[in-house]
Amino acid sequence: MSARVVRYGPEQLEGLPASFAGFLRRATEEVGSGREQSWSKAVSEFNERVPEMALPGLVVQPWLFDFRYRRATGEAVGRFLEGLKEGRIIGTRCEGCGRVFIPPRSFCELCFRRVRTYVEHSGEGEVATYSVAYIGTNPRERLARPEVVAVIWFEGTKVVRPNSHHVFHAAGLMHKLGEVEPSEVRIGMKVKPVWRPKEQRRGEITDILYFAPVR
Amino acid sequence: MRRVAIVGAGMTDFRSMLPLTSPEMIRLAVKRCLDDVGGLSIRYVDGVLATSAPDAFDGYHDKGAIAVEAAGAIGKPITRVFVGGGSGVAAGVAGWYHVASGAFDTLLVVAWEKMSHPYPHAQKLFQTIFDPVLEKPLGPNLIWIFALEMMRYMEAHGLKKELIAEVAVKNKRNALDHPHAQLGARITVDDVLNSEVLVWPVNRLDISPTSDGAVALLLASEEVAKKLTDNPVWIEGVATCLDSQFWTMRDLAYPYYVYLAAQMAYRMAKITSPLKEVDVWEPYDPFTYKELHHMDGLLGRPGLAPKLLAEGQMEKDGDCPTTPSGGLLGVGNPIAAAGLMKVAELYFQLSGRAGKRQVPDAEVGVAQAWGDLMQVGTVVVCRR
Ligand SMILES: [Zn+2]
Repeated sequence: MSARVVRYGPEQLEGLPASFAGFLRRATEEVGSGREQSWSKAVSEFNERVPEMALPGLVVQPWLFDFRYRRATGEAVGRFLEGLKEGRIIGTRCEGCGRVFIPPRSFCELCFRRVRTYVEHSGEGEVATYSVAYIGTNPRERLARPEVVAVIWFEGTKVVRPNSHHVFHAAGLMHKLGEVEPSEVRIGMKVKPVWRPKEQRRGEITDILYFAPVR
Repeated sequence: MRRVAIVGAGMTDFRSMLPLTSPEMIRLAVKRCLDDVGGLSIRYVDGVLATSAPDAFDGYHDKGAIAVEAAGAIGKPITRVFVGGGSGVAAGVAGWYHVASGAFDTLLVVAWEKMSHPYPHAQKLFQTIFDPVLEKPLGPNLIWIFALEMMRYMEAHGLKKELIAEVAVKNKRNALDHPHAQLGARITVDDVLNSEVLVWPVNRLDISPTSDGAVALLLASEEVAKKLTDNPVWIEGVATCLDSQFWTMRDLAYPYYVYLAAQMAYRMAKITSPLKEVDVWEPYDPFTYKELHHMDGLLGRPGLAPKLLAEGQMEKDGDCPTTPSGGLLGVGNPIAAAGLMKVAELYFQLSGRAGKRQVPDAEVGVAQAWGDLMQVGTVVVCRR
């Protein structure tokens, strides 16, 4: 029982527009990586367990999905990103329940009303929780250096449920921690944002390089 | 509302690669389900409730339509529900709506996932769960957020990884008795602790695998159920509850939405003391800590599940038998199908067909799944 990957040879790629030929070539290259063997094994095992279906073999067809999005930031996040460029943390506060949102939102889901009170925050907060990442977006690739990922709750925004330790709400952001060894990080640790140099900021979440302990 | 019973179940093996297309997997599960009801003809099925996780796994738009032929739905209504990882149990919930309402006398509920298609790894597709403007530029991986939740949970109750690892040991061992399991094994706590660290505190063996697989259940109204089987399993409570998408603004130590869903389902099923009244638990266990986290929510007592685990109460012969199937950690995790496998396990257990996995005298069972951005709890309560 075997598995065979469909590959595009030069004869199929010849005469195609260069960008499309390149696209197909990449699809073919990426599909290799020894998976044919695993598929062949899967076919054999399946045929043993479900003989009435008896597969003759398997053809693996590569297909690459290449697509982009351009997104509207919306009103509230748009103002947040503008603020980042200037080294300012902008949020909103709901006049109904008093909760603060950082990053800001233009409506409150609990009061179900429009939120239009913008507030500026120092950016200082506490580590709500953290982890040490040895992998990033590609799970097959170990990061050169592990990164400390954390949720930061901004100072003075926490709402705690009565009679419990359960935090009902806090203005919080996922980001990275820097200037600290992973073993030194603690939940509750006070941190502040460290900014990219002004001339390099582009109105993106990465204008904050990371959060660092307040020493 | 009419009473609704599960009258049959069937599933494929769960494997990292099944050399079948999605429709072929679905058809195999449906065939086995109908065989379980004495070879019932597909003609007696009134409609189909389908579920599968992101379209991207199949790389096919509106993949709910994939099930039309394979589930015998030509000329019949078919509905797809989707709430991320919570989908499999949500399909049981939505299936109940269909039959309890009186609109359908028989309904096929099918769930499948084909995660071996995308390469280099299906997990990369989970990137699309993150906020494209505020989170994706950080280069995140799905495991990051579970590591964050696990850390917050461990801190809240002073839990050690040594204890949490016991969940993997138990579930993979239970899966040895499941005929369709992908990862049944005898492992030790040290194996879990010494496996590769992916995102601290999550090691490789804390995580369920990616899988291919399909599951089908046949639901029927009371009148029809009694004609089809002597061993119906009744769905007595159902609930779905969602919390906010803004997961960084919530406390991850306790799954409040699971608690609320469970309370709704218990009220329907007239269960007042779940720890005493429920005989079999099938909480969602894509990660080791999640089984405990979800049991805390299902029991309504933050921090109770780790204590029960430490006392051995979650074993098959304990007071709180939890995940006798082997769960996602042992049987495998074809996302939507894994959730429905948990409901199928209640059917197998409560109708006395669970073979070596059988929990003696099981009368009441609870299955639960969880998903989206750590925000949905779906719960089904069954009784024999
Ligand atoms: Zn409000």
